[in-house]
Amino acid sequence: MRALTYEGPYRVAVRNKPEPRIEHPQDGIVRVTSAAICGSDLHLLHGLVPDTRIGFTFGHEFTGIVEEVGPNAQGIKPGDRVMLPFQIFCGGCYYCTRGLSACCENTNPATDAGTGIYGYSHTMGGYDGGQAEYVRVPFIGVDAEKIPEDVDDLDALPITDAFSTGYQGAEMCDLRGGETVLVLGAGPVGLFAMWSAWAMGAGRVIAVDLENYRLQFARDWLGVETINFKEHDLVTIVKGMTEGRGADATIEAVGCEASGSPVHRALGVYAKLEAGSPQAINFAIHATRKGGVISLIGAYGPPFNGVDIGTFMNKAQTMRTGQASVKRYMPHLLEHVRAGRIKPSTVFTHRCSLEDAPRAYHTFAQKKDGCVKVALFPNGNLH
Amino acid sequence: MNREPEVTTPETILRRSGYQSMEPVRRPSYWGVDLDPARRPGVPGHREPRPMANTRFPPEPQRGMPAAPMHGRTNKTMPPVFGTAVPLRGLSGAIRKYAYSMPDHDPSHWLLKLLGDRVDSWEYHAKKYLPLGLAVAGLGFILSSRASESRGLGRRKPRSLPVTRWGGEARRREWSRREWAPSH
Repeated sequence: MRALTYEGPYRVAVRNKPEPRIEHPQDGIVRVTSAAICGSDLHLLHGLVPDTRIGFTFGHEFTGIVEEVGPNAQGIKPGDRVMLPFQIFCGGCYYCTRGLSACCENTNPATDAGTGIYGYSHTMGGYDGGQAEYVRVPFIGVDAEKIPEDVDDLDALPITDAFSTGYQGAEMCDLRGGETVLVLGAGPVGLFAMWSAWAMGAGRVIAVDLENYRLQFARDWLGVETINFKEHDLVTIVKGMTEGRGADATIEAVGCEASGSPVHRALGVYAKLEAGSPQAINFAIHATRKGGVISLIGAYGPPFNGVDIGTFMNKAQTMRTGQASVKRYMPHLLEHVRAGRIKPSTVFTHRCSLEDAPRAYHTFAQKKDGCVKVALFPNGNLH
Repeated sequence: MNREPEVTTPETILRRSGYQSMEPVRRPSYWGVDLDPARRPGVPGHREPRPMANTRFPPEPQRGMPAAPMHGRTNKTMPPVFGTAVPLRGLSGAIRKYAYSMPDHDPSHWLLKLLGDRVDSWEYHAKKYLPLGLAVAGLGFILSSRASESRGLGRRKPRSLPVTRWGGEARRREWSRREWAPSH
């Protein structure tokens, strides 16, 4: 089969690989119909996630058709049209039974820091991802969510990660109505966090980025206020907009390649002496009011970062974090899609075949051509 | 006492804001659809334990070799399901295996894994480009030696000695090791 493979930092190619096979009685094989490139795939591409091996296939956001199921996979059959949460979880462990599927303890031998994730390095379990024609899906009966007939693949696709992550990011702000919510990063996850903040009753939503085209996209699609932090001093402006206090809640949807501090970029992104640049977290600490909430959904790798923890402590802030436990959000977000409150496929500014994926990665990473998010179609049939 | 928080209106925002946004705040039609926390799937964060639909627990142990070894905390047990994407191999594999012998709360675990990544990349590119590089270097050597022979440069004649400014030919210095040996 054809699959995107990693060939060292900044290099990916589409190569032939053996087709996946059933390796566990609860496994399934899915033929991928659509797969997205996520912003966090760029951290893999840039060599920032430990134990990303040459020949590994990326892709943790995908939809597909079930081709084959193992003998003990329940509630699913070949031919079902499904979307997969980006994590792999068993459904019955301490965390899964409490709805925290992102913390499952039965799918990742490599670290206790996270559960197994498709296509996200061997640190996250060593499972090949969905930017390929076929993918192995462990616990397919538990993990897969059937896509309703009236929902397009491309509207379901962001629910597997970006939409759920953005929604959980807003949910962790514990909004009660009327708060000022600052969203750092106007990429796909940030956009969905803005939508979710409005849905949960935010009084005002302010988007921050350094790309004007992304801010324009956020303004046009979601009607939010915008700040380009390259043109203004972010903290000064935010405090000016909030009677000198700062935002009630800040959602950090940037992750470990944040701009805004040449020192942290040099140390973290280029020299790799810290786990990427923590500048977005530091912006969040300074731009959030005392006693406010910081919701951290950007991706960071171990082992350590230069976070301004002293200011965080002195400002009596709360930080809530975590990968989205996608499975519990899927029915709710599908309800929003079916009710016409949101059309998630709006974020896909670029759509291409799997063979064009290396070029698409380059376009996405360089933020060229107005790119917000890319959808790949490994089995043809571009929508 | 009314403990309900005040719901800010767009007018309040514009009145209180030190910074006037370019346009008045426009709330979308879906504003507040999940204002009630009971509508939010992640609230409360922890719920009464209940297996998910279609769960068979405990899961059967997977056979075969995991691509990612178990990290080195001594009381960690092998999970029943694991990935098998790219097995450990070469020098990078040895480094990674050593990294995995340490627990994941030890920073050395992560730094060695990052080192393993760089070595993996060097190994791959060396393997990919070394045969081509050696072939080009070998071909270059053969061509240059043939070109030298065809121009009669195979055996070099001694160059004529330079003329000194006094008109005479500079005397080729002939010295033996004995001249430079320390005298006893």
